Amino acid sequence: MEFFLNSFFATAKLKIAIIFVGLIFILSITNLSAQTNSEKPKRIVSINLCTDQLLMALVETERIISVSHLARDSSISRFSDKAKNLHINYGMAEEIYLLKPDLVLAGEYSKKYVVAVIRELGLNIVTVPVANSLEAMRNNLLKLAAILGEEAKAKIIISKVDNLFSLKNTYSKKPVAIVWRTRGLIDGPGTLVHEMLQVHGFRNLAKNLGRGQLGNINLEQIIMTRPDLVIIPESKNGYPSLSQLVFKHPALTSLDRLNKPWLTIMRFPEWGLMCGGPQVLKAYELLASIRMNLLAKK
Amino acid sequence: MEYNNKHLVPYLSYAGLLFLLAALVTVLFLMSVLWGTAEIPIITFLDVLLGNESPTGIILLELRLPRAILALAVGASLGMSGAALQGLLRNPLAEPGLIGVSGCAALGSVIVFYTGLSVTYSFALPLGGMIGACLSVGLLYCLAGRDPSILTIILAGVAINTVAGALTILALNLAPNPFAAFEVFFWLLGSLTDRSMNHLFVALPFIVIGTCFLLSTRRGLDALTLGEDVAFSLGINIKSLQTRIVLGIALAVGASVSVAGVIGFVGLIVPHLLRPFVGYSPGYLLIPCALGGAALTLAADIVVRFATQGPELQLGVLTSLIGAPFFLVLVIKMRREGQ
Repeated sequence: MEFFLNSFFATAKLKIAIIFVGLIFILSITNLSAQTNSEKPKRIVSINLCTDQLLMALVETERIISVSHLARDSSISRFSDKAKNLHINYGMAEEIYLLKPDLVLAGEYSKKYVVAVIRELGLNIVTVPVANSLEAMRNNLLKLAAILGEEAKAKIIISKVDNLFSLKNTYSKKPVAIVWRTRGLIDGPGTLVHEMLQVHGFRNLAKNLGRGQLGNINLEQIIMTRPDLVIIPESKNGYPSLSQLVFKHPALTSLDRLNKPWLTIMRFPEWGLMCGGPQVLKAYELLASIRMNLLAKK
Repeated sequence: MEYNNKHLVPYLSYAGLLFLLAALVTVLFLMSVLWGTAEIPIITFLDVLLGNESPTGIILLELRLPRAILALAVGASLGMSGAALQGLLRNPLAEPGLIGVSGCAALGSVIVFYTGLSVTYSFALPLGGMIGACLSVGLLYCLAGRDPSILTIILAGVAINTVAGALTILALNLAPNPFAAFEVFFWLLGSLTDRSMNHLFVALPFIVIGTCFLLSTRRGLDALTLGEDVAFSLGINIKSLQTRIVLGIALAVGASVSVAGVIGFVGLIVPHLLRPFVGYSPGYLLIPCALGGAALTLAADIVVRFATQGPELQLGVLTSLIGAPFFLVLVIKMRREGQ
């Protein structure tokens, strides 16, 4: 999503960025040569929502200089409260350089030219891939914790997650569930959401329909397949959103009425459905309570 | 540009033409209701009539029906507006999308939507679209009304479109929703997917009123082909005629764009295809163009459902893919005729 947004303005920014590199290059050499690698990074900047989450969970706020502007949005950022007291950035090379960070964290899908320019400027930048499975999430946490010098904290989080996900559920029935995002996108096998649904004893409709990692479904298909649970992203902030309109379609209300007590349309915080990270712990709890509710309805 | 009568089609009367188009619209409307991702068995109609609720019944009544009616209304208003605009400006290249009416309507809708006005008052959305459309037609008329040459109109249209586009992006940058630009990027390409009866109730009244305004200009449009002075001497109130056309287009296109996004080129293609059948009379062209526009939009809206795997193709993308080559052919043809 970010990629599409960014590509609009890519060329103009790139030109500015290239000029900027030329102006700043000499300064940067003198500036950074004094830095040593032995200490923990103390001036950390994150320019991606997912790395914001990892950073705020692992590191005390004193060491964080800036997080991305999306980190303050409570519907997509688990640690939005912490972010409220932090400086925010818009992921532009110039502002990041002026913050004089000793470590910059970027996501796999962060603006490619910004990452390149920051690297050119001689800053220490680390890109973290998207976690599409528990395994990938574990690796991300360990890799980042080693860089941040917070291995102990990461190990505690990982052991908590492992404990939860190794619980064997005793549900005899397996209701069909689907995580339905904006523009009809659904999470199929090979995603963290799919793993979470399975752990809670759901069958993922995306898998039943033969969809891959990132599939697609329309309103007609939802109505025809009548899943037991439709999880839709919650818009906590209540700002108007065109792509959220489909979740308010009267046809969904009709279907809910028709299927009672089974089909339920549940709103779920969006931060629990994106970027695998420590916030998965909370998302796990929420999903568990939804599962209990479904059992009670039966 | 003067119309001539050399391409009159003698074997098809006006009533015959209307009947054929109405039949085509009816068939396409039924196909639009019946064809989609989900198969609708005939028994569903019985269920719906008896008041039994079923998934296919919900799809039929709450998804397909509003979508088909909207396609019909939006297509009709775009087709008729194109015909009226071409008559008013006496220019065959005038089209709501090309000259910036749709762009300004989109700007109005975007402002109303992202300020949250449309959440509080649902009628604010078409109103925003209509105000935008009204401003653009008025502006265009001021810029090009005295000298309706092709070049002036197209250039004025380019200017209006550019300003509308820039202001839309500005409005999105100021919107509280961080994904507003992404959402609108798709919305601007036009679509009727997953619209509900609520959209219909909000937009349809304005579309109907706008269409009535346009229909009242039939005689005036015909007289206007002879030039403003002759039309005046024939007893046509030019000011009133202009006002009704501008208002009619603003209402119809503004309301359409506010629920369906920008669906381009319908107002260009349809009048051109139908003009020879009505003896090049802009007044007589209005009703066939409404029917033709409805048919084209219904047909395009059926095609987008099956054209791609995964997410539906945007309706405006399809009409532009058909319309842009058509536009080029038209330009080449006009150049040849001019030589």
